[in-house]
Amino acid sequence: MKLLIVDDSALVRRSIENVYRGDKFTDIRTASDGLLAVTLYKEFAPDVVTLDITMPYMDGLAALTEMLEFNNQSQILIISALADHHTAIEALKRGATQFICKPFTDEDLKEALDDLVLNHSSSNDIAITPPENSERKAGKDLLEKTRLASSQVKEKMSQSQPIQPDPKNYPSGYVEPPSVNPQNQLTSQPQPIRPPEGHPASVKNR
Amino acid sequence: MSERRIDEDMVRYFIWAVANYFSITTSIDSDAGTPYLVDKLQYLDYTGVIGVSGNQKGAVYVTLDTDLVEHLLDEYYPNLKYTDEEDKEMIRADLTGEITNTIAGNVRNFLGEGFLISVPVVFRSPGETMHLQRGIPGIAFPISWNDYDCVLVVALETSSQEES
Repeated sequence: MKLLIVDDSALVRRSIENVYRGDKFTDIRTASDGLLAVTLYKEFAPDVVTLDITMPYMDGLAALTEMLEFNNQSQILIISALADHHTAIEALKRGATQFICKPFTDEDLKEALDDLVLNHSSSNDIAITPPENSERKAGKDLLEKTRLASSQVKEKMSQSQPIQPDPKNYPSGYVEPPSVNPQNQLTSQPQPIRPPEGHPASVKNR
Repeated sequence: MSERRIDEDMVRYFIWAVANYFSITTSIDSDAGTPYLVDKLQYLDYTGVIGVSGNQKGAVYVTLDTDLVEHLLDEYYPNLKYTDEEDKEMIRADLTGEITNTIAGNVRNFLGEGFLISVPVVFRSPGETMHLQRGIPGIAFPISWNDYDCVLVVALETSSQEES
């Protein structure tokens, strides 16, 4: 299978490539911005794409739209630090298959990519094999669940505008922030409160 | 008339975002020290900056020492290969940008799509003291993680109606 990794961070691109080269994916290419990603997508025809959103030249959402307009057979996993409900919904609405938030664990990524590979295999299997095997049934069930989730999202969008963020609907990996009280009162006026003595950010006030 | 202020919710969001980053990436919790107001900052070795526009204007800074960056790369990205020292230097800067981007991006979880962030810019100017962008005062959050120190600075302004 072919994988296209799109992220402006070389660290993220290399990390994913190191883990998955030769495992599920025999051919992996990378792009550091949305514009390059669209160009590569058209000539490489990847089975699976991991796509960041905040990137130079063309952001991931615009790239996603262009990619799927050209060929909608790829499974696209959005991997972004943009954790708001609106961004996740928008990505799914434009045709992304899954969405995971940075920071993510290796297990989060593996689980998401496994699902995408299964989805992709299921889609291909439907055309070439008879429907009697348990693995394919599991894949179909998963595909159906994904479609159901997607349709629920779309239904929800059509019912209520604007969407009010609900913590229960946040993308994977998110919990409500802890109740952390600031340890000193902040004021509207910039006051030269000194940092703790010896702290590396300490700046002497003139 | 507008006033410059960052509310306490904003403080909570950023403290949570930093804690979330270290907890998920390293499985080691970080501690946030007492936040304090700054109008200038002494940068550590690597500093990532994210420009913010939309409902808020200003920037988010994360400044780190080389030791911390090296430790994160060695411990959590052990299989990464570097072609030469220049390549490794690029990856150190890249990690700094990625941390800054992740923290700022995660805050959108609470502030919504009106909190627009730029791609990160990373620079090295250790020991330099500089005024914050556009003269917007910031809140500095001293962060301790695994015996290393770093600093998150949130320098944002919002416009609000004058309160009588």
